[in-house]
Amino acid sequence: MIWRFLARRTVALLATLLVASVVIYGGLFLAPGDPATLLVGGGKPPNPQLLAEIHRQYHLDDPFYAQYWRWLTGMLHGDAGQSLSYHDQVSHLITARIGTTALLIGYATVLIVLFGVSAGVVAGLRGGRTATAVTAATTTLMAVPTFVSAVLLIWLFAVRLNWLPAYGNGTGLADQLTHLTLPAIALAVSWLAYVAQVTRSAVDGEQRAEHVQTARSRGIPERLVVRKHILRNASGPILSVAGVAVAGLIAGCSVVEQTFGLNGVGALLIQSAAKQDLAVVQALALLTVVAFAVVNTLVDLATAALDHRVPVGGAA
Amino acid sequence: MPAPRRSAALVLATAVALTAAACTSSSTSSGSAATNPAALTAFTPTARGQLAQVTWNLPTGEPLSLDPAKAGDYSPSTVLSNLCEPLLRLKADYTYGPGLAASWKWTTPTTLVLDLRDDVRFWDGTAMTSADVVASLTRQLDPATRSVNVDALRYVSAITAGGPHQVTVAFKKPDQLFVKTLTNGFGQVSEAAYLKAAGAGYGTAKGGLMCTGPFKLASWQAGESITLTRNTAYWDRTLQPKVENLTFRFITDGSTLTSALLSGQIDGSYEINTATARALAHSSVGHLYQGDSAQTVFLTPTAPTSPLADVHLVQALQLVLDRDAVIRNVYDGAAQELKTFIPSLVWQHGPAASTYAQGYAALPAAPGVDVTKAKALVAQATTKSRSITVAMAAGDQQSLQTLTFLQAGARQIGLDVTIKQLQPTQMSGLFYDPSLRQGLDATIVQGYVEMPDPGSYVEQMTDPGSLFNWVQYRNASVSALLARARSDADPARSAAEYNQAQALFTKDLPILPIAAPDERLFLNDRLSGAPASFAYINMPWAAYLGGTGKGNG
Amino acid sequence: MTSYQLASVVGRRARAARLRRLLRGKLVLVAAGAVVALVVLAAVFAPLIAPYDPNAVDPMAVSQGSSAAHWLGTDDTGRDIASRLLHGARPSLLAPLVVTVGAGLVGTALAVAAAWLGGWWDRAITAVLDVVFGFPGLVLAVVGAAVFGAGLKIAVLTLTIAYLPYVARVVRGSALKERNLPYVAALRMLGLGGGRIVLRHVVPNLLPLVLVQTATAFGYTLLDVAAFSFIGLGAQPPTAEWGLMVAQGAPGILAGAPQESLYAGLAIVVFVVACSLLGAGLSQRLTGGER
Repeated sequence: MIWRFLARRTVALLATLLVASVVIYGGLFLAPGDPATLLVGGGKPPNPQLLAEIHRQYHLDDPFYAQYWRWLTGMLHGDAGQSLSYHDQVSHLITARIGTTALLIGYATVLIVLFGVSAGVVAGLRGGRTATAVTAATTTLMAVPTFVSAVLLIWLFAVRLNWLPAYGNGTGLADQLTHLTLPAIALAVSWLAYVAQVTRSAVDGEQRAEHVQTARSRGIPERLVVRKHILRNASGPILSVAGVAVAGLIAGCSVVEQTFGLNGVGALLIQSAAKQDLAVVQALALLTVVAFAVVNTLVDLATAALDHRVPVGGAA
Repeated sequence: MPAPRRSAALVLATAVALTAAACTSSSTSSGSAATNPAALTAFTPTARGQLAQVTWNLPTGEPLSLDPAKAGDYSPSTVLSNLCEPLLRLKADYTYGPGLAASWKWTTPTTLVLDLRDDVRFWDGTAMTSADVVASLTRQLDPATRSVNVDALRYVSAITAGGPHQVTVAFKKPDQLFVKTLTNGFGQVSEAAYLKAAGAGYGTAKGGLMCTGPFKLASWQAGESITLTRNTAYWDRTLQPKVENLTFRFITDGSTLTSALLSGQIDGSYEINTATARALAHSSVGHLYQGDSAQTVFLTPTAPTSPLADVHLVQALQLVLDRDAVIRNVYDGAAQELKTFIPSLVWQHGPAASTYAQGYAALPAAPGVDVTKAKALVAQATTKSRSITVAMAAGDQQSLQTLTFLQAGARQIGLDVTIKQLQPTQMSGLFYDPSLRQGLDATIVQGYVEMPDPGSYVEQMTDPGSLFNWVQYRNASVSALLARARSDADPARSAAEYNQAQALFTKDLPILPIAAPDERLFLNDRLSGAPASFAYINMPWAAYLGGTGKGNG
Repeated sequence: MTSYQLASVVGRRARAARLRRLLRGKLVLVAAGAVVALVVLAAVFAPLIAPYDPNAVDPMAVSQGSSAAHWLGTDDTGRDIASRLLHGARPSLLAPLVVTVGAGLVGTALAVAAAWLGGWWDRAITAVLDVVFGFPGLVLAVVGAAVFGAGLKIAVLTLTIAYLPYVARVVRGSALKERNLPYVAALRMLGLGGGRIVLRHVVPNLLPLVLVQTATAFGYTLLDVAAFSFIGLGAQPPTAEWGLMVAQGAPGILAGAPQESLYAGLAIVVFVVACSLLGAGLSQRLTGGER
C-alpha cells in the first residue's frame, strides 16, 4: 500500500517537473527582453557586434526546442548548466546558498513548533482568558503580511534597539543564527500564529472528547491524561498543519531573504528571474517543486502513521 | 551601419527589479532641509589611521565582470578603479593628469606618443613595459574580448611599442578624444602574459586579474562578495593604501542598505539614494557627504513616431514639469537644475572652462512653470497623438516619483502620460533592440558622462549613425561642429565649436533635461578620506580611505 | 499562494472552533461585520467620499504627517493618503474577490466532475491538479509577469490557478462522499439524469462548504494579492492599491515618514482580521457550530 502510494507520488512529481520545466523555460524564452544586453553592462552605448558575440557564445539565437533540449540532456547527465549572469555553474551557485536557506527554514520551523504549538497547547488546556488572548493575538498576527513584519522588525530590533543584525548571513554557526533571528521571526510569525490556532482547537476538541472525560472520571492523573489522551490524539492535525507551514516557508523565503539581504536560494530565484537567467530559474523552480512534493508526502505519511483510520493515499 | 561613437557612458538604472521595486524608493520627510549641506565637497577629511577591514557596498549590484575592457557601469568601475590603473588619471575635479603614462604628446596631428613610468610593477612583481600597454589596448579590437570600448579605437590605425617604456598610437584622422578615453577602463593596463593565459576568463571570479593598482583582487564569491587586499609594493609612494582588506557587498535594496549602514555592518557606499540619505542624515554612526557629479537625468523619445519627437511637445512638458519641486522632493535638494542635459562638471575645471562657461551662459534659461505658454506649444505641435507612454526601470522610486510629477503636469495641458515599468532585461535591451521600444514613446534615462568632455555624449544622440539616435535626428551643422570639436587640438577652439553645436541642438533636439543629481556618499565615522566627487568612478578612491580613530575601528 | 492552505487544509472543524470563544459574545461578530461592511461601502463610494483625487500630486505638500487638510498625511509626491486608501480599497478588494470566486467556481466544477465521472476522468483531473499543486506559485507569477508584463490581471490569474488544487481537493473529498450517499442512488433509480442530479442535488449540498471556504479564504487571498503588489508583480503605479502603498512607503519608515506604509499596512491587517472573524462566524452558522 505504502509503496504504491509512494510510486504514485513519484510519477506525479516527475510529471510536474517536466511540465514545470517546459512552462518556465518557455515562458522566460518568450518574455520580451534580451538577457545578453545585461551582460554588456548598462554603462556604455550600444554595440551590436558585441551583442552578437554574446549571443553566439551562449547559443541565445537557437530555437526554443534546441535550447530546451540542450538543457534537458545536460540535466539528465547531472549538469544543471551555466548561469548567464553569474558566470558560474548553476550547481555551484545553488550549493553555495542552499545551506543558508535550509538553516533559515529550519530555524523558522523550530520557532513555529516551539512557540506555536506550546501557545496552542496552553491555550487549549487552560481555556478562558488565556485562550481568548492567544486567539486574539494569533488572529492579528495571521493578518500581518511577511513584508510588513520584516520592515517593522528591522526598524525596531536592528535600528532602534540595535539588538540584532538586520543584514547579511554571518559566519560560523552562532553568528549565523544571530543574523538569521530576525528573518526567521519574520518568516515564521504568521505560520506560528496559524499553528497555534490549530493546536488550540485540536487540544480543545480532545478535552471534550468522551475518552478524555472517561479517563478523568477514572481518576487517572491529569498529567497522564494530557500526555496520553489529549496530546497524542491532537498531534495528527497539528503535524499536518506544521507540514503545510514548512511548505509555506519554502515559498515565503524569497521575500524574506531579499529584504534581509540574505544570500540564499530564494533571493537568487528572484534576482535570476529578473535577469532572465534561464538555467538558474529553471533549477531553482524544480528544486522548489521537489521540496514541496517531499514535504507534502512526508506529512501524508506521518498523518497516516499517527491515525490509522486514514488510509494512505486516500481521498484528501 | 557604422559603429556607434562611444566615449561617454550611458547608464541605465538596471537595479534588480522585483523586490528592489519595493525598496529603492524615496520620500520627503518634513525635516528634510537639514539633510542638504550647503556646499559640495571634493574630498572627505583626510584620513590618518590604518584600518584592517572595510566593508563597502555597490548599490547597483554585483559586477558582471571585472575585465577592464568590459567595465562601463557603476559597479565594475567602482571596484576596478582600485585594481587596474589607467594610463592617465582622472582627478576629483574631473581634470586629468599623468597615470601609468608619465607624459603624452602629439608629435604630429595623427601621432600620439605616450612615455610610460619605468618604476611600475604588477602585483606578481613583473615590471610593466610597453608590451603590456599595447596588449591591453589592442585586445579590445578582438570581438572575442567583447570590449565595450571598441569605438575608442575608431580612428586608430596602429598601436606600437616605441621602446620598453614608450608607446606610439597612429591615427587615421586626428582624435583628441582618444587621450580622454585613456582615463577609464579602456586605458587600464593589464599584464600581457597573464591576459594571454587567462583568455576569455580574464576578469572573472576564476580567471582573476593582473594589474598594478593599490589593491589586489583577493577573492570573488559569485553573488556574495568581492574582497581586495592592499598592494604593499604599490609604486606611488604618495598614495599608499591605509586599508588592509576591502570587501564589497551587493545590496541593491535601499531599505536593506539603510539598516546595514545604520548598524555599522557596511562602512560606506557611493550613490546613496534619497530615502537612504534622509534616514542617514541625522544618524550618529557616520556622515553623509555631497559632492560634484557628472550624472544626468533626462527624458528622451524612443522613436521618430513618438509624439515627443516633436520638439513643441518636449518644450511644453518642460513648462509644466516643476523642476524645482522635483529637485526638492525627489533628490532632497541634492541635484542641480541645468539648461542642458550635459552636467557642467565635465568641463568646469578643464583648460577651456571659460569658453564652455560662455557657451553655457548663452543658452536660454531653464524655464519656470507656465501652463498657458505650454498649452500654446501643444496647439502648435504637428503630431496629433496626445498620449505618451514613458518607460522606466521597475523599482526605481526616484524615476517613478519624477514621472508622477510629470504625469500630473502633463494632464494640465491635455497630454496623457502613462508610466510603464520595465524589467531589467527589457530596460537594458531598449538600447539595442527597436522591437523592445515598440509601444513606448519615451524613456527616462539616468546616465553619467564618464570622460572630461561634453561633446562625445551629445554625439550619441545626434549622430545619424548612432544606435542611440532613436528619433533619427539629422542636423548636418551639429554633426560637423561636433566632429571638428573632437579633432581640434586647441582646447579653447574645440570648446567654441562645441558651444556652436550646443546652441543649435538645444533648439531642435527633443530631449527634456530633468536634473543633474549630486554625488552622495556615506562614510561610517571610523573612516574618512575618500573623494566625494563623482570622479571616484575612475579614481583609486579606496587608496585615500583610512581610519579616523573613532568608532569601533 | 500558501495562505489559501491556511484556509482550506484544516477544514471545517478547526475553522469553526477557532474563534468560538471570541464569538461567544456576538459583539465581536457584529464589529467584524461592521468593519467589512464599512470598507466595502468605502470602496463602492470612494469617488464620493474621498476628499481628494487619489492621483493629484502636490509638490508643495510632500510626505506630510496628519493635518486638518490631510487626515492621514501625504505620500512622497504629495498625494492624499486617506483618499488613496479609500480608492485603493477597490482593487485591493476586487482582485482577491475575483480570485476566490474564480478558484471556487472552477475548482468546484473540476472536483465535482472528477468525483462524479470517476475512473479515467478522475485520475486525469487529479493528476493535472497535482501538477499545479506542486508548481511554486511565485515562479508562476514571475514567469507570467515576464511574459505578459506585471499587472494586477496577471497576478489574479496566477493566484486563481495556484488556488485551484486547494479548493478542488477539499471539494472532491466531499463530493465523493455525497455521490455514495443513498439518495443519489435513489434519484438514479427514479430515472434522473446525471447532470440534473449533480446540478440540482449534489452541488447545492456542497455549496455551504464552498461558501465557507471562499469567505474565510478571502482575507488571506487579499494578503497574497497585496504581497504580489508589494514585490512589483501586482498593481502598477500610479494605481492606489494597499500592498503597493506599503511598498512605496517602505523607505519612508526608516527616513522618518512612515505614514503611507503604516496606514496601508494597518488597513490590510484590520480588514483581514475582520474578514477572518466574520468568516469564522459565518462558518459556525452554516455548519451548525462545532462538531
